[in-house]
Amino acid sequence: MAATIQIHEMSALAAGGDKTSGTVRFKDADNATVDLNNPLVIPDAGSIYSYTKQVRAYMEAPPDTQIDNMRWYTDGGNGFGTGVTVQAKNVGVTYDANVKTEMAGGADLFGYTSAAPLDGDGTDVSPFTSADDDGYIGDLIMMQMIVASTAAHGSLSAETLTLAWDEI
Amino acid sequence: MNIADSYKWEAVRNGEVITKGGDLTGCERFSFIPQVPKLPHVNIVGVEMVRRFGRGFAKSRMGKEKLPIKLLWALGSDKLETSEDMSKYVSRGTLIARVGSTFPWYVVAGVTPTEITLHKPYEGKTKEAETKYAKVVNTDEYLHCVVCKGFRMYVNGRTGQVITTPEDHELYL
Repeated sequence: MAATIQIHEMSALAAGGDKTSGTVRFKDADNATVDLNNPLVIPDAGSIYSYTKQVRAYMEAPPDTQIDNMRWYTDGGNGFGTGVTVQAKNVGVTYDANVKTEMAGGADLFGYTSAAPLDGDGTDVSPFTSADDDGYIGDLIMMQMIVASTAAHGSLSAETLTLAWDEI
Repeated sequence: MNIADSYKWEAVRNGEVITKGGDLTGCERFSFIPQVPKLPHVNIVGVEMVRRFGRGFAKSRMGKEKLPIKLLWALGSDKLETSEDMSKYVSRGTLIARVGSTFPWYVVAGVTPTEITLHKPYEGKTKEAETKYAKVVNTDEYLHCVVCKGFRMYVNGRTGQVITTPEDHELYL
């Protein structure tokens, strides 16, 4: 049987909820609930920041042999529109509480593509095996949405965050 | 079923059937055996094989995943036009349900990607009805790969599509 790997939105280093078939909603609150509460309000000037979000891979079912080459990427096009950007970075296996102040050291999430992905297992190094079953594998990826005064009102269109891995 | 398990594989080396591992050195035959209907069986023979692996993809949505659909109801017409080709995003059943929720006394007689035919001409005031549907996204994908001397072959675990690339090409979805 092949492995089952999920994307989890994290509330601690090793605690989170499955968002593989769900949505990661950037909001003005530190929770993973997808609702209409705590929207990001477009500022009159400058920019505001969402609470940071952290995602990590979870091994729901193990591979026959191993998993490696974990990487995160987008389609490379920011479909959120003018004035809305998302920063991302690999924070290894150090979980810090989510904050709504500007995240340091991030890069444009949409700069990470399949050809130039964000490494997902640089600190928690692969390969991962059946010994890692029912546990978190790879590194935490921290993201934050930035909304500038130039953004348009309304719900954002969709974007997709992809986690890829190789297995044998 | 896990999309990764839509195919089983086996290789034959010196008469021995192999079903685990990644090394294909010395194998004479490699087979992808579908586990679900309508997927093609794929055999590789007569080439020098090197290794195999699977490549999994998990996708998470960010932001809203809503897609506006506009249906133009025109007085006297039995055709409802959609604003664009929605077939990539929503099923025919979804379009039919949209008609039923707007005017339940009209029956859908036919559906194309851009046009819905009613059982009789619309008799009401011309209007454009808009709704939003969750865009359909495959949240998991899987590629099976066999690396051979001179080329590699990817088989899509969802569709059975076979893609042949140069030996060192890394395919991501």
